[in-house]
Amino acid sequence: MTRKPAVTFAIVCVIAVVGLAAYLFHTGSRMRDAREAAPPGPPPNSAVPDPGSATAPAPTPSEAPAPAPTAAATDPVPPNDAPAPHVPATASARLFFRHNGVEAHYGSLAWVDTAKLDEVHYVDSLRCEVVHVSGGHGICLSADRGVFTTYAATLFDAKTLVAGKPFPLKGIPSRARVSIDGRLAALTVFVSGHGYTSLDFSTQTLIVEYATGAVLADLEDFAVTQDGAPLKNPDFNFWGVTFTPDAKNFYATLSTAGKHYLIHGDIAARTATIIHENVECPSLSPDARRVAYKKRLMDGNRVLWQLHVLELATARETPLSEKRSIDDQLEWLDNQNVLYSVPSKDDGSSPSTDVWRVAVNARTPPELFLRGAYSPATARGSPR
Amino acid sequence: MYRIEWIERLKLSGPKRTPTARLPISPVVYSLGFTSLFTDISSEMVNSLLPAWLVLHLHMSPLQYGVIDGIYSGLSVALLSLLAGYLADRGGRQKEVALFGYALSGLCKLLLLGVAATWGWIALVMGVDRAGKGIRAAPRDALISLNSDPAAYAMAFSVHRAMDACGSLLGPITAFALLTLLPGAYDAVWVTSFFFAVIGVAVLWLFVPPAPVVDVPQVPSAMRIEWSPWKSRRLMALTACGTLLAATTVSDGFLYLLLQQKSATSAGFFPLFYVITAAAYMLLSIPAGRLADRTSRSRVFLGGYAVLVLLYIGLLFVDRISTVELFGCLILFGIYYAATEGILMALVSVVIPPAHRTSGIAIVGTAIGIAKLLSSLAFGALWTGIGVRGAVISFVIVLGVALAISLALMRATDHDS
Repeated sequence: MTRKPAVTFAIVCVIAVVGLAAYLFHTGSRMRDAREAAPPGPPPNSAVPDPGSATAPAPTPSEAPAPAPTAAATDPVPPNDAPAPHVPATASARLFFRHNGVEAHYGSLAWVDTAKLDEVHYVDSLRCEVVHVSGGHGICLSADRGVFTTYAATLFDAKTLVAGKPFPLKGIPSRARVSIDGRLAALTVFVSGHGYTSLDFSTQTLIVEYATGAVLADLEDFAVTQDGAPLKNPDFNFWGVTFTPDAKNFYATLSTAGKHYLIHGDIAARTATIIHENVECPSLSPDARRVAYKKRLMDGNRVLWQLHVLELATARETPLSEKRSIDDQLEWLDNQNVLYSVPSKDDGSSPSTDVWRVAVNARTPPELFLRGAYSPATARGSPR
Repeated sequence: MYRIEWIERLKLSGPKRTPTARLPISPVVYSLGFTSLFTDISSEMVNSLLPAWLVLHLHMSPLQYGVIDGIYSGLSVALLSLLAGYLADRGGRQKEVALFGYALSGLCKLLLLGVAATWGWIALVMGVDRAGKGIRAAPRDALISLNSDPAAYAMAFSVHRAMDACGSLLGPITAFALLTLLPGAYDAVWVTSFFFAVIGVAVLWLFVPPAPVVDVPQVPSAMRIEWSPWKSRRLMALTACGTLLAATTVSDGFLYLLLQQKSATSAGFFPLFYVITAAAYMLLSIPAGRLADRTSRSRVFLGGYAVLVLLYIGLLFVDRISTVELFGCLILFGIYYAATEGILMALVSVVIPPAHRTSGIAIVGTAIGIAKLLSSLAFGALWTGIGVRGAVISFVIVLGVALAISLALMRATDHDS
């Protein structure tokens, strides 16, 4: 009676072990192939050249910039050193991103000159899940996959690529932004309360000071008002900060009771006002007149995020010509174009993503901008 | 001593013993334990990686869906498990129903591969996985009790739970080891997880005999669930106690959060908290079961909750805890699990006639599941209203009251069985 089940069980086990071994071997060799197939690429030591800088020689790490000066709080108007329209499109600028092609440089920080897109420079010293650079400073959110995966944020200088000391994050990196003056950084992580057993997530969104690395604010602490009346719900979740040019205010998404609001926040006053509905992951244009975002539409039970632009003065929404569902915080390449990442294979079978570009005014179809990239960031502005 | 009388009476009046139940722990219990061990390795491999996979690998923002999914699947799984319990009892098909539940969850691991990875799809896969879990729990527990001597029920359940906890410890370790060797190869994790599930199902299929035939008291109508013949005061009392205590217990996540704040460890250590608790649970489950069988199951059960109350009270009044104290707290939390989880099933199994065993266990399990769901909603509301500390204090007070009521209820019905 006991012999027959034992034999069958042995057969099942053998099949399982052989099947598993074959699959793991296949995976191992697939990854080895991918690593070997890595493009020859530019020399690895590509952190030093400073393209487009005719005036100053590239600074060396030893003369790494002092901590960013504290903000000139007296500056009443948006800084006039904010790039004028058209400038970034013509001048060469650095575009930072997470290299997301599946090969040796997978996951490392990289940059290209927007005039020479095919020449990728890898920064192998920083591996980022999400990256943003602005005002000469950058923030890199990383995952350290040990026995227990931990997450950290690292602030770095965009010119010298000298990184500060990483500080731990409470959850899985999602979004990051740096203000145009390089003074502040914002980040959103997903905190999953019960980790192992459930899929319920919440977010934590923090504003960090570049100079000190100190957390200035947690958006959960902001007093939110809707039509003048205070609003406070247990299910509040904030994500996707975008700073105004003066870095005293910001826009972000507040989610509560199944709605997704665009809020305008005041960092010093710790207040935020709801100004529009159905706006996720806002991104303020360099001229601060428009917000590009993903709008949540439902197709049966599926969420379709469609890219839109909101004109702040008139509250007029315009859909962009991208018709795929995009789950990303957009990045303005200049005042006319936005960038965003799209999975390379739309069945989700590959972690690889590409960056696409679409014009916000014209009806021209979206174009593939950069292959194997994620989290694009146009390095504009300079530290003040 | 009335306790000895109680056990004697139980032995005389208890369900008819099966011939295989001569040993305190039947090999069937070990087989079911191995099924759970392999299945838990399989599911915890996936669960421990799922959040990071969704966000970092698939670049999805998973907000909102999870919460909705949790409530939906909680309720539908509750109904499914009642149905599964009823069907299992009808033809003595506990094994087949459990097999179906385990197989369903196993298949889900394969569905994570290669198919269009949209949020809706993943939520669906996880929902089906949980449905499988809901379907299999009651028939499996019924099989454990039907293959055991009533005098050793607590022991049987605790052996099973210890093996189960062992699986949930090994799962995350296996997953992280795999990802260390093959960075980013989540598909390899899913495939490995699937094969562990297959082995779990194979153990159940090949080494667990169908439930022993029981003398079925004639049920008047097959379609009509006839509660009255077996609905005893004791069962009502036990269900009430279990539900009451579950409804007033703060969910694990908050205890870990409290511990993390008091010990000033980084949130990155959360998984370690979980591991220590699971290890303590695994190691202490069998001693707790033995103690419960030898002394009183209800006392061990209530004692477990008393430990939890004391732990919370201690944490509320202490500002800072050292690493050693942190370990102590996690071990106490493991003791709470060891003394309550399996013991309640043993308590319940004693008073349900074998012919209705699965349905009865399913009813208790469902009541507890719904109570937990409502309790976490209530805790969330309190948290917003009066803050974390206030919410914990109110829950501890209510839990204390629930404990007192449970003690009274159990005492009042101790002789009923």
